[in-house]
Amino acid sequence: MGLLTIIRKVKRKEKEMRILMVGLDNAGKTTIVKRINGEDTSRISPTLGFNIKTMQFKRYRLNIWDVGGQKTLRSYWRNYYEQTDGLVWVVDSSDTRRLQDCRDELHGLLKEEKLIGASLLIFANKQDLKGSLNPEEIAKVLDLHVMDKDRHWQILGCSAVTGEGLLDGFNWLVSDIGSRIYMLG
Amino acid sequence: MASDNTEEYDKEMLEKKHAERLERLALINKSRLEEASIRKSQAAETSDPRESVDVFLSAFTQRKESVEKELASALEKKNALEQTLIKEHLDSLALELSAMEKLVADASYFLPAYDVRSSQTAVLKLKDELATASAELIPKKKFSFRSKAAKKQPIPTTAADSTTGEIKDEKQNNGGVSSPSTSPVSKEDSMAVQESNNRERIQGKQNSVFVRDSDVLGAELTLSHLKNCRVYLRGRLTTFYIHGLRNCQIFAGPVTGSVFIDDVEGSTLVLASHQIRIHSTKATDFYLRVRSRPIVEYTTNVRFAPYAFSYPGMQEDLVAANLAEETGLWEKVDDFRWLRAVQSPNWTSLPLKERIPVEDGSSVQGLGCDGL
Ligand SMILES: Nc1nc2c(ncn2[C@@H]2O[C@H](COP(=O)(O)OP(=O)(O)OP(=O)(O)O)[C@@H](O)[C@H]2O)c(=O)[nH]1
Ligand SMILES: [Mg+2]
Repeated sequence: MGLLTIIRKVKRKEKEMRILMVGLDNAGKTTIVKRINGEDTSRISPTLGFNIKTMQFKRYRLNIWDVGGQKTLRSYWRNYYEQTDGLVWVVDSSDTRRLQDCRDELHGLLKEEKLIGASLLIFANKQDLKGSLNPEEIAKVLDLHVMDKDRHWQILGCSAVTGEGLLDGFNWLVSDIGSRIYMLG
Repeated sequence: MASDNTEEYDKEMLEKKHAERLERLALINKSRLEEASIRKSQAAETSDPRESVDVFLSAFTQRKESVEKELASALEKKNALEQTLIKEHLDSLALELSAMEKLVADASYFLPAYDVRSSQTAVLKLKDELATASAELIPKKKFSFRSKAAKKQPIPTTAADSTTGEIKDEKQNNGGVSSPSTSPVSKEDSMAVQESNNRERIQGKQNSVFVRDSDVLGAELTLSHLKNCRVYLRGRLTTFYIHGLRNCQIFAGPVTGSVFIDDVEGSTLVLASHQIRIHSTKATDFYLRVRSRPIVEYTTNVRFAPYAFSYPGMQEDLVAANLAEETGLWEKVDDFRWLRAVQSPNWTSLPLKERIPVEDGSSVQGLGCDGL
C-alpha cells in the first residue's frame, strides 16, 4: 500500500462535509447553528460576513459556513459555493411579506453550477410562532415542485428556539451526503 | 567476502529503509489515532452521558409538576384573589414556562429525540392551559384605538421630510415587479392568500392611537402602513415586524426575538429587543435597549438613543425577556452599506438635549384608550 493511498484513506476516514447555510437575513441561520452546537443563543448579532463552525456530528466532521443574508451581502454568497456538499436554506416561516423574495433568491441559487451536486435541506424555521406557515405551505410558496429531478432535497419544519426538528434535518442531510460521497467508507 | 559485505550492506540498507517506512506509517497511524481520540473526547464532551439526560428529566419533571399544581390552585382560588395578584401569579408561571422551554432547547442537542419532543409537548400543553386559565381569570384587553382628535401632540422627530412621506395605497398592486425597498406593498398583496390569520396586526390606519395590553405569553405583531399614528405596546412580544410607517411614534415593551424594520420615515421608535434590524429607513429616531449590535442597511439620517418607555410591570417584562441589563449597544450600530473603520454618515447618536423624556405608558390608559 503506497503512502498516498494511506493518506487518502486517512482523509476519507475523517469523513468531512462542507455545509453552506444560506437564506434571507433574519431567517435564523446563526441561531440554528449555535443551537445544534449547544451554545448560548441569547446574544446573536446579525451576521456581518460569515461564521465557520466545525463540529462533530455522528461519524462526520462538519464544516458549517453560516453566511449573512442581508441584501448587501447576498452578492458575496457565491464566494462560498466551491466544494459545498450540503446546502441548508433557512426560511423565516412567519415573514410572509418576504417569501417571494425568498423564493427568488433560492431559485437563483439552485441555478449555480457549483452547487448542482449539493444536497438541499430547506428548514421552514420559526414553527414555534403561531403566525408561521407550515412546511407544506412554505413548499408551495417557494415553488419547490419545479425542483430539478436530480436534486436530493427535503423540506422540514423546525424551530431554533425550541430545538424542534433541527436534529431530524441534520440527520437527513448528513446521511444523504454520506451515502453519496462516502459510499465506500 | 567483498560480495558478502556488499550483500550485508544492501540488506542493512533495505532493512533500514523498511524500518523507516514502518516508522513513517506508525507515525501516520499514531497521529490518526490521536486525532480520532481527540475527536472522540470532543464528542464525549458534547454528546452528553446518560447522567445528564437523567438530571435533565428529573429537574424538568419537578418543575412541570409544580407549575401544574400552581395553575390548579390559581383556578381554585379564582374568586378569593384580587385581579392584580392573579395577574402577577400567572405572569410568574409564564416566566417559569419560558424558562422551562429554554431548558429543553438548551438540552436539545444531547437529549434523545423522544425526550425533546415529549418535554416540548409538555411545555406547550402547559402554555395552553395557562392561556385558558388567564382568559378565564383575567378579562382580556385587545387592541383599541381612538381618533387622534385626542390630545397628545406628536413627538418632534428629525422628520424634516415627514410631510412628504406618503402612505402607500394598499390597493395599488402591480404584480410584485418592483424592488422590495421601494414597494413592499405589492409584495405583500401578492402574498395575501398565504397570509396567516394567527398574527396580530395593525395595518393601513391613519391619525389614530393604539394601545395593546400585555398578554401573559408574548404576542407576535406586525405594524404596517400607518401614518400619523401613535402605538403603545405594553407587555412582551416574541417577534415584531414593522414596515411602511410615516410620521408615527411607536412605544414597545420587550421583544424576545428580533424587530425587523423596513421603509420607515419621519418617525420615532422606542424598542427593547434581542435584535434590531433596520432597512430602507429615513429621518427616524430610535430609542433602544438591545442585546446585540443594531444594524442598518440602505438607511440615512437616523439617530440613536437609549430606551425611553415605561409602564406598570415593565421591569418584570424586561427581566423575563432577558433585557433588564443596559448593554450600551444602542450606539454600537453596524451599517451594512458602510463597511469601513470611519463612522458611517448615515447614523449618529442623538444629542442629549434633543432626546425625548421617558414616555410614561401608564398615562395613556388614563386618557381612556383602553378597552373597546
Ligand atoms: N420565534 C423564533 N425566533 C427565531 C427562531 N430562529 C431564530 N429566531 C430569531 O430570529 C432572529 C434572527 O436570527 P439569526 O439567527 O440572527 O438570523 P440569521 O439568519 O443568522 O440572520 P443574518 O445573519 O442577518 O443572515 C433572532 O432574533 C432569533 O432569536 C425560531 O425558530 N423561532
Ligand atoms: Mg446570522
